[in-house]
Amino acid sequence: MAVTSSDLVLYASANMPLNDNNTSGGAINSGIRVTFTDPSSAAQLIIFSSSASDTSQTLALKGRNAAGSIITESMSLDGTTNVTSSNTFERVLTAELSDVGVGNITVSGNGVNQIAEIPIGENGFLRPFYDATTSASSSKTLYEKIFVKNNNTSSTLDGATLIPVAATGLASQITYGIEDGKASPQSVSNRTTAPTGVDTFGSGASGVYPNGTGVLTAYDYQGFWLKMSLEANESAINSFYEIQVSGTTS
Amino acid sequence: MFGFSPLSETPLSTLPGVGATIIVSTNSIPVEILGGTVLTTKTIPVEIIGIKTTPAGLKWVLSSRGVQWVIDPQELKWTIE
Repeated sequence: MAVTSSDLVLYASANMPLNDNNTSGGAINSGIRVTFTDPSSAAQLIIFSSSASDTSQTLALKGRNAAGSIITESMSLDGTTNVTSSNTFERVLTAELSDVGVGNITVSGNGVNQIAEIPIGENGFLRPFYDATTSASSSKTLYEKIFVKNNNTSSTLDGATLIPVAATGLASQITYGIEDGKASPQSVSNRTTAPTGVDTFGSGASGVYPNGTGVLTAYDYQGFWLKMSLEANESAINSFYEIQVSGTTS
Repeated sequence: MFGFSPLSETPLSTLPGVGATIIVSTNSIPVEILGGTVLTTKTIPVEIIGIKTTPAGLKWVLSSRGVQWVIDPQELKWTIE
């Protein structure tokens, strides 16, 4: 079975810090994705499962309201029945299930777009660089680690390559560096510390380890660090980083 | 006397070019078509928060005869300003 685009998934690392002091990086967390879509306008959130059996889990949500304050809410799943949040979310920061679903769990804005679908066996999704705050007097550089994984059960992605999309979102402020090891668990003491297991950070296309010529076999994954540069006194922005995953399949 | 054998009496298989077995060889040539290039675009939401400011607290001021005291918010003591 050939690898398809939906087989290629970006996952969080074990340590996605909530501030500039805690550990950053580590091994892959194959339960938490780093891709989702914010509500197109501030909205209550709706959750439901594709299975009527999902009635015991809660979904812990963190996000911001229209005023920019961080809000939290714990929502209890009720099988396939829609459950609506009390709070109105302008954006989502993290969403994590207390336990994996029997079915796929959909998170959607009420009356707006779908935010994400949490697949069976996974726990949720998050936004990298949680609460990343600019400094009044000095520039700042933050490092957080994510992974690209081939979830195909049998096929290999040959020539697996990462290609940042230029001139979109925060492309001018975020570069990336592939770790010099396939499933490396490297972490740094905090996200202001540069990782050592990366040859270079850049914004061009780069193949996976080793030497940019590697492959992603079934269930194989490659870690890479995101480097975000913040200027002193920079304005707040809600944006994104866009990166393509490419390769050939048989 | 020349003998004569009617053609119909000669087994066909003895005639040159007649009755040869035709061999048909079926060859299976392996050919693959790859799924081609897989290209998927991933959008990672990222936010940047501006400088966090602490709202100014209430300022307690005591004025008397042209002199002004304020409460130091750290020490909670009156100091001449």
